[in-house]
Amino acid sequence: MKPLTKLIGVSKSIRQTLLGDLFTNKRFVIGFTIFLFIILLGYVGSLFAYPDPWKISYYTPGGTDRCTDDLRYLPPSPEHLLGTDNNCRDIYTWLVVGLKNTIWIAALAGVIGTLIATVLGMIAGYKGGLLDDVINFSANFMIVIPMFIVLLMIVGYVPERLRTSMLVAVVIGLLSWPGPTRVVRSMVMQNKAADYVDMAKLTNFTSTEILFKEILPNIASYIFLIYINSFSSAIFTEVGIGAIGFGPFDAVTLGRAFNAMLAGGAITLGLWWWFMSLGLVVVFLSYSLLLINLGLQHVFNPRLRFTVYAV
Amino acid sequence: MVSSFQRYIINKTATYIVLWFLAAFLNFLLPRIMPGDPIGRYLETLYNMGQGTTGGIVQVVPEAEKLRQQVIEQFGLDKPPYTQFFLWLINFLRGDWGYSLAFPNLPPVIDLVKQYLPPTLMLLIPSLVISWVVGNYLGAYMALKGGKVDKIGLSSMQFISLIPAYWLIIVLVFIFGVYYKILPVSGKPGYMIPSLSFDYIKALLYHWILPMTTITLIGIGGWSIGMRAYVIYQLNANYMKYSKALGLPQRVLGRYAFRNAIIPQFIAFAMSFGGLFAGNLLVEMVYGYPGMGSLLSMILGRLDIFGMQAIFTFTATMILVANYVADIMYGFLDPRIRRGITEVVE
Amino acid sequence: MGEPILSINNLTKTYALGLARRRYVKALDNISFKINKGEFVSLVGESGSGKTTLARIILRLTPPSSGEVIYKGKNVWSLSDEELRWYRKEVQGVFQDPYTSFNPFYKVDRALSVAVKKFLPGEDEHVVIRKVLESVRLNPDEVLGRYPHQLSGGQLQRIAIARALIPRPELLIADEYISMVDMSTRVDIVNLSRDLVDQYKMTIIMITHEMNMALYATDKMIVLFKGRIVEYGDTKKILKDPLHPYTQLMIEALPRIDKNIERKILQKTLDAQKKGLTESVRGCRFAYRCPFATERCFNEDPVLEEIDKDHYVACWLHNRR
Ligand SMILES: Nc1ncnc2c1ncn2[C@@H]1O[C@H](COP(=O)(O)OP(=O)(O)OP(=O)(O)O)[C@@H](O)[C@H]1O
Ligand SMILES: [Mg+2]
Repeated sequence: MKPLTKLIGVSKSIRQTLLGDLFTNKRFVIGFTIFLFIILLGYVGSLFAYPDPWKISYYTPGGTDRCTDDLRYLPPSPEHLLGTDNNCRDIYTWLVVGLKNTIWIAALAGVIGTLIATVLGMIAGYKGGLLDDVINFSANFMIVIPMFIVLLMIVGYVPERLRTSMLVAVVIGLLSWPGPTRVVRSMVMQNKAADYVDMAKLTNFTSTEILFKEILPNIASYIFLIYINSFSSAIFTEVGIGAIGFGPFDAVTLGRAFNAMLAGGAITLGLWWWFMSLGLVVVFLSYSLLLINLGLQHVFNPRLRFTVYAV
Repeated sequence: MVSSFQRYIINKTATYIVLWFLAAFLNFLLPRIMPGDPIGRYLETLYNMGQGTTGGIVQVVPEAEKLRQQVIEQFGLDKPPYTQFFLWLINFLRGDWGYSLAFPNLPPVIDLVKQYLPPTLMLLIPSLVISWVVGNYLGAYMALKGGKVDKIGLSSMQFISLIPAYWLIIVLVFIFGVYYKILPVSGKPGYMIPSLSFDYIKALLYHWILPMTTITLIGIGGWSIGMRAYVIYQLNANYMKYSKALGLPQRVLGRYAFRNAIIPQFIAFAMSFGGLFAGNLLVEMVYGYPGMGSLLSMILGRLDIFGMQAIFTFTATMILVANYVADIMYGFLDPRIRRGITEVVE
Repeated sequence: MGEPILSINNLTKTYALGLARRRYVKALDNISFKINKGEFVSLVGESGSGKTTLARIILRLTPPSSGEVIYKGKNVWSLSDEELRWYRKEVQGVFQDPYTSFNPFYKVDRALSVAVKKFLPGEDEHVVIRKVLESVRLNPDEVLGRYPHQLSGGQLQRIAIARALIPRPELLIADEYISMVDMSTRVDIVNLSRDLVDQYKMTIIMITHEMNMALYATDKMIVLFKGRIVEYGDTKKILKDPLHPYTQLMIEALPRIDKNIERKILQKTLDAQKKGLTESVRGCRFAYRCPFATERCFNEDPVLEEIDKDHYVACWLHNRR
């Protein structure tokens, strides 16, 4: 396996071949392009959006705070790239603002989940014994109960005003460690059994040194893959709970935009641009992440190609 | 002398009982540690309800403190926490799940579950079976065919499995409900009262088609990807190369691979129930299909704590049972994979 | 001869397999032997006979189920932290697969420099590394600064030996360190090991399943079969007069041995396999494959007995008790 960290400059030749492999990998290139495009949609796209998604006063020349029927459900036009909703708000603005916020929430949730998974997985995999049993048991417990239901439970109990983006990100992160922990744990266990670890033991390495200097560099690439996975599923989760009205209450997110779309009756009114734009952004975002993940797996370790693991 | 297999079963059973206790405890604990005043919220709900209907409850409001005491007593909230927990647990096991605040007539939660669970099972079980069978068939087909079929098949299955179910149903509703107008745009079977009457079931079936199609399609994506991976793994196994060298025909080899690859899929079948249940909740909520998802969305929307506790605990129970079955199957089918090798020190 | 440097007393290691249906594997079954300072010992036996397990227990990498390993009078499995550091300096190991013995993440230099830092603090890293690489007949400029995958198996194995030599150990355990390199490198490495024994009075346990290498270079030989010692003693004596049918099978290549024995053993093995009998539960582990097996062999464990000076065998054919 070629460790990812080599990308960051341990050996020039390896870095080049690895990058070369990546950018000749079709899946990675396609995935990366789509991902970049969607990120650009969020950031460059917001240049064409209105500054405040909540305001309705942008489209009438004089500006108004009243939503009247002639401003409701407008079809796409140069002023409103995706038309307006039942509250006369600009759908395009909601899409790009929501996209940006959801990406942030998912990125944070992914960091939290991956960090916990890395720490717990390394402890469990390396130390073994009681600690391993406890961690493994908890992970298996959490995997059995779908995290989405626990999440619903928590956000259901939390009063609305406390349901901030930060809280939602943290809760998603805190709930998403079990699968990744098991992956890290098994990676560590595999590496622990490797001859080079025995060699390190014979050289009087301490456990900490073995864990951080010998094993960690070798599993860093997997941890990165896990992060991409967590990031991707956090997007799904945010949109899911947001769609039914239990997402963050302090910001416009993709989930919130979904919820507004459902509440606004986009389907029955046949406003396809509304629900198609939201859905396609989510689908292509996760699809691009999947392609990136598959491409990276392919380059890191061809043997991994057929591994299916539950995250 | 207990055989090690019996020990495995006892072990698993004990584990799942502990897990169930943990899940129940979590459900008991969460509403209690959350900020806010559950009793206050309960009273508030009663009060708001009272305003709309009879004056009965409104009249008690001046005596809110007294009412509060009454509620505390009724739910045993003045007792020590562990007593409360066991009281609640015993009541749960007896089927006494409290009264739902989400409905004006305060129905027993268990009655709600009895009413909303069958439509959900009617959705989940056939969908699981169909997607499992079709998915496995497709997955094996892709793996055995290889080449272009495999490449295109895999990519499309990956794409399908990534579509959020709650969005796919929107698209399907738009196509078949709004555009072609052949299927209902909402899962609610009109204003009919849920019952076991023929008319109601007919109406339900009519509203069942779209969510059923949605979760089955997405399920097929997931199952076929898994099956394809297992079959390819089997095809690359050493015994396969050996059999090939012996000159066994391709068809026979394919059947071997399929037979071995299907074993883990049996286990996955039982294990997938939880995830499917969770995913389906959203579909139901979005489409308004009168199942557990819709029930949950009403209960969540009206902050019905007793409903939430009962339904989450019930859901956890169902999922744990499914996983318990999967684990036992696991022990039967292949005991070696799970933990591999453990050392004994005499 | 004096005190042995290493004594193995009644060592047993049991592995458990499977979770739901547990099976036990006795990788080592009540093994005892002694090794003196300055001996080149070979440990031979077929695959799965427990050689690696034994090496790992001596190297303090895998705990035994029961029994003890005594090195210079100290029980290896109850050393203090301080003593363990001393033990690591005294006893070193080289493993079978040179490709997995090095962390793929680092250049091979690191394995060496870390060893110098840990074992010889204060000494000049560069000087030590160059010297030790030259002592294993490597050109330092050819190998330093490379990653493991950029070197050949032979080069890597020599570096692994060099690493093990850095603390100037007294006992070196080499687990099949020649099985993954080509023939000429093999002879080279074995000669190198011989030199270490002759010049520096080092003690080496060489694990191998190649009888000819063992016979060619070593002083003493231990023959393992299914976790038990079947024959043990002076290499020359074993070569001259192999007593156990299994040892005879293993050195069948030598012309003096009756070719019929080999044929008979193979026939017996096949017969036993047909009946589904691969391993006896009681008695001699080799009984089902042995053409000379008697009733007693199937029922009673043979005892390791000194037949001649420095020549032990566990076989009822030779045991006159
Ligand atoms: N970690 C382990 N867990 C379970 N069983 C093991 C383990 N290590 C070894 N064994 C078993 O113990 C027995 C002895 O194995 P060992 O590796 O010591 O044999 P060996 O003589 O070194 O074989 P080889 O020549 O193939 O290296 C084998 O039956 C093996 O399957
Ligand atoms: Mg070995």
